[in-house]
Amino acid sequence: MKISFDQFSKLWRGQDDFRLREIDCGIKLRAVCLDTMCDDAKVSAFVLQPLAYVGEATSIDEVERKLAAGTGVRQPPNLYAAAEDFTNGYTLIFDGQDNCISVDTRTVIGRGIAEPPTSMVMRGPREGFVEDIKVNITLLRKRLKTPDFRIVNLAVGKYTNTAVAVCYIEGITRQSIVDDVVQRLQSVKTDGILDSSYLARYLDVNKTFLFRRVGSTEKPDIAVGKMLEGRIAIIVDGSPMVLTLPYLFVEDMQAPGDYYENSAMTTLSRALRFVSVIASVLLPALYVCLQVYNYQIIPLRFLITVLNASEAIPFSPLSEMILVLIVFDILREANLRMPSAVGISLSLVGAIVLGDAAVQAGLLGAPAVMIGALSGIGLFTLPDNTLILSLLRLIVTFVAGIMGLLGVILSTMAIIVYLCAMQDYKTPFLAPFAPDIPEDRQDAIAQIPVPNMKKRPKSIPNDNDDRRG
Amino acid sequence: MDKNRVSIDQLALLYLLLVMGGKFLTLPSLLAGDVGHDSWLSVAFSFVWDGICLCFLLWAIRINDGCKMDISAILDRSVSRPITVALMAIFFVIFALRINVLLSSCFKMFSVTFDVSANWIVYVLPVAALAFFALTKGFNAIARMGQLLFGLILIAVVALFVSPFMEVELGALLPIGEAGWGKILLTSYTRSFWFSDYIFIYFVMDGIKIKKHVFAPILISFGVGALLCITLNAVFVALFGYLAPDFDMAMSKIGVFSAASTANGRWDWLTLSIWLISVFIKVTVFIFCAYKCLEKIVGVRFAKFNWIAAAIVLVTLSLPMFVSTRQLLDTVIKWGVIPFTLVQYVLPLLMPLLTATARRKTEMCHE
Amino acid sequence: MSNFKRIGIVLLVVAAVAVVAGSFKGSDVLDRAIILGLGVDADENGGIILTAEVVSPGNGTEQVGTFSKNVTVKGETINVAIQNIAEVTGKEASLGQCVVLVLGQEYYETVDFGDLTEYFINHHSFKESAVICCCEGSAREFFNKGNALSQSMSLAIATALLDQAEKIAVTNNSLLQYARSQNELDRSGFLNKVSFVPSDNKDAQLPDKEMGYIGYREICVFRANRYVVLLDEQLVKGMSLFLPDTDGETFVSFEDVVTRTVQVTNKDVNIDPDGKGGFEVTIKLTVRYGRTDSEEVNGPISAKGDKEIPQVILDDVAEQARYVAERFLAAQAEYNFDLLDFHEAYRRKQGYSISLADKPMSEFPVKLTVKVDES
Repeated sequence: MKISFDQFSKLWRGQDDFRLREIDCGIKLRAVCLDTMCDDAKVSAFVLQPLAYVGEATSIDEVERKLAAGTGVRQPPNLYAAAEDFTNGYTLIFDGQDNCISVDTRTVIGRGIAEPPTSMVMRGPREGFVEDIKVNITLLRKRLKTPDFRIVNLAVGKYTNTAVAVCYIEGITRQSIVDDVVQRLQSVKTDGILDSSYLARYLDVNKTFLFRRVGSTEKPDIAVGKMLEGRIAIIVDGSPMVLTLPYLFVEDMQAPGDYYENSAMTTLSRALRFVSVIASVLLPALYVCLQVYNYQIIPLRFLITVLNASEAIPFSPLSEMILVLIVFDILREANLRMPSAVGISLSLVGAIVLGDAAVQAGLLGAPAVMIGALSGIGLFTLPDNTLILSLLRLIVTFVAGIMGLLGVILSTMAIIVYLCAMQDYKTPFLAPFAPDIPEDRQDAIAQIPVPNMKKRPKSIPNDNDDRRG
Repeated sequence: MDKNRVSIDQLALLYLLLVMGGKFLTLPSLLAGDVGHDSWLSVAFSFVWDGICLCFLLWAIRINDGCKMDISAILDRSVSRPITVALMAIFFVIFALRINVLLSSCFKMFSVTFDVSANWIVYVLPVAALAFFALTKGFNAIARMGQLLFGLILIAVVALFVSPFMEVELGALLPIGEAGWGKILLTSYTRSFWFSDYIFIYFVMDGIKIKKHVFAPILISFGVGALLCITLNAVFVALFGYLAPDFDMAMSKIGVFSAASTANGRWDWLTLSIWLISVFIKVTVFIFCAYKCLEKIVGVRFAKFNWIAAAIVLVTLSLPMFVSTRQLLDTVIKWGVIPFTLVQYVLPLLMPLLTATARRKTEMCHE
Repeated sequence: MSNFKRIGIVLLVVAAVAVVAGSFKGSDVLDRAIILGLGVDADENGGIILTAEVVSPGNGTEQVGTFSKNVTVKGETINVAIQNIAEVTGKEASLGQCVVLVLGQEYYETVDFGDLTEYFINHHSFKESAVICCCEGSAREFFNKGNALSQSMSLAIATALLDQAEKIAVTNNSLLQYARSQNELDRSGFLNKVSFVPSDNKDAQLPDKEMGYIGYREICVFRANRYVVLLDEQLVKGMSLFLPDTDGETFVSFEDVVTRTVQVTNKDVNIDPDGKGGFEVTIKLTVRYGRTDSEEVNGPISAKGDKEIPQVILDDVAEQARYVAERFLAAQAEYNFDLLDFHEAYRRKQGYSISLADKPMSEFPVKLTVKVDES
């Protein structure tokens, strides 16, 4: 396949970082590269120096054979592929007859492997994924030294042409699910994929967008752990977040360090996470509906405290609680966007000025602030679903304020029905609880010691459920 | 089809929730009014009959395994279409009435016990919205919800029960059969409307996924449910004596003595609210069945959510706005008890035969 | 068009929320006068005087502590009186947290208060487990003694009768139990009588402040909601011997020149109908020496630990127990009330009959046996 140099250079000549070098070594060669994407030393070592020593060459094939110093040397099949190589940092060498070879001279720019800030562990590996897909695959490969580790490479995005790698373990992962995922990724029609979270939206089968339907991790050990359970890992170039599929709600309760700690401790902390999430969503709602409708439930001494606190408050219990929750959400949002140095002072302002002063000024009641704060903190035990749970908390609180206990019961049931009906890639979202899969409860909230986990989870379809076989 | 799939375990748990939901509202006081402290015997007799019918129905499910025939297909193939339509109409009336009775009892509980007043429509609409939402998600989602909440509801019921059970002197139930055995049996017949919760199984027969056992899990949950209901009735009449017929909200009254109720706060109301979930699950299941009845009367499988059928179900829910529940029940007992008994207690006994006939006919057609 | 549809849906949702929000009417806690306890006295005109201890919230800065005030209103019936509380406090009365119902002396001695108990029994918010009792003097004055206790009078009575009294007195702490006793079979039951007992102790900070505690050792007997008789401490002791759930009765006996206190630690009571219309009652008491923290204290009342109790003391205790028990049985027969469920025992055997319900207590002959053992 001929690639016209004129056509190619017409596309790129206007770019500031376009570099052209003409070399005569028997035949006239033209080497082009993008200065910003190439490593000068590599261009010199893998292209220019060998060409200087080639001496007399008769064809571009001979040049290709003699450029032995470069590891990635190939002939791009068409203009499209040549342009992709070129933009990725390859140096292209054209002869006079519109033949072309590309030599890998990519520069390595990016951060080094470090402990990811989103999933710190006390004990366990500290390596985290980086933005470079090649490094990320290496991190997986380092842990999976088996020929069964398979990668399907794809490019997604009309303009970004982002490299996507679908990784799985053959013989464990159900092939039909891999095919389904690959087909979904191939059918993505968009101009650009900037992060793996873009793809997560496309992989959500029911397109519900309320709860996260695709897991993500920054740690290769977690990704491998999930792949060993029959899941698929999807690495997207430019994103340190690796997606895992299929995803269960209970995964959000499993912290990275859980498998490196004592299983009894893990069970306790998971139970705490579970209780705190339920309390976080329901506490503000219950506080409001108990005040407005069923104060008889509140223990007398606490009721008197509430009465003492609320007597002078200008808001109704519902608006007071909604205000507290919204203020808490604003604080969280501001804290996220602030530089970490300012973040501390922001927390102080939030805690002292908004909390204490609002109570002192008689604007908010102390019990409401306390319940709002307790509920807000509790949500962070489920990092993946914090935002959606925070939204649901507002809705349930609102319904509780207007309908009382009936509202709490009905809205909770509606949420549960919604969650129960969710099923992606033949995996029920609430498994192993609804439907109940007793074998999988060994690593849901309670966790049995790792040596006793002899079977892979049944919730996730797999081809080999024996961990030892 | 897949959305309505249900496993035997899910069915068993859901059945237990249905047995527990609703029976602890007005029924104990009505029974106490009829036969005094022997009401628990009346409940026990009703459950004996329920148990026999359930066994036959489970037998039919076993025969139906692999055929995936629903109730209308079985009746169509074994009897005839007009009879199917007539039976479905009776089923629809039963479900509509039971939903109404359940909802009005709950309404009363909210307005009297929880002191929250609302008008009927505003109360029913959110419940119906939940039921229709669940309907669009399929029976499988309802069954899974039952599975998820089962433990919580059971804990709530036990928490409400244990303390009064320890406190009560069951000697107050002596002498046994004081009201007269004839009267006790008659009461279990006249109050049969509240029992036979297994009738919902007719409408999910096509989706039941059988693995190993059919009888054991469902009969165990039936046993547990029956035991709980009998115990509650016994505790209720023993605890409240002459006052029992006046306390038409058994669960809320018994809650006062529960372990959750402290001297200074009605924590038992929270436990009560958790138990109320089982009532709403029951309402949701019955609304699902009523909707399915309409589908089977029309004879066309509704592709998506059918607004007309939903509207008809909704209209029937406004009945208590015009007739009081007590009036409704009096009329039902007078006129409806015979046709209701037909589908509640006679049809299950015939189901194995009908299913086998339908299955044979289907297989002959295929050959 | 799709924009119109969207706007339509939003409007529909807003309207639905508004309708639902407007239709659910609850009882906002701030609009309610939370009643902790109620005292009922007789009014000269045949009505009642109701004293309510109502929670009175603090000023917002001091958020912890029980603040209450007493409110007194009159009404022809209990319902009217409770409604009148709203007039005085400006808030609708709430009985959901009411823990105690106290009947004033004049009221319970002269009035049939069946409608009062029926009102509370049928009131869903009112807890049937709330304490009901009688008091010495008027309930109004009794509630005003709260200051002397330095705490809410209602909570003090509830704590006293529900928790403290459990082991050291015979208590009837539930409205339900009382209401049932007044309407079933022989229709007799009892209520504890509480009284304010002034003490000589003084508060060092406020020497003029009256101090005291709540006494609850006496019992008032009622039949069909009418006052019958007051049982003094000794009759209550006699009654408690028949009740298997209570223990801790003490007897004082003499060993040579030393006074010994013997305490009941366990009790086995059998009340069996003999089939001839009477009862065979066996009371087996297990006793030990009363214990104090200090052993071998010098003085007339000696606390002993593990020493064996001589037979002579056991016999003396049996005699004393028989005496108080027989006194109680005699009182039952004399005033015709049934606190030991004699009628109920026969009902369980024979079923209900009017003749059984009307049978006077004197027609139940009792053969009493008292045995005392050392633990």
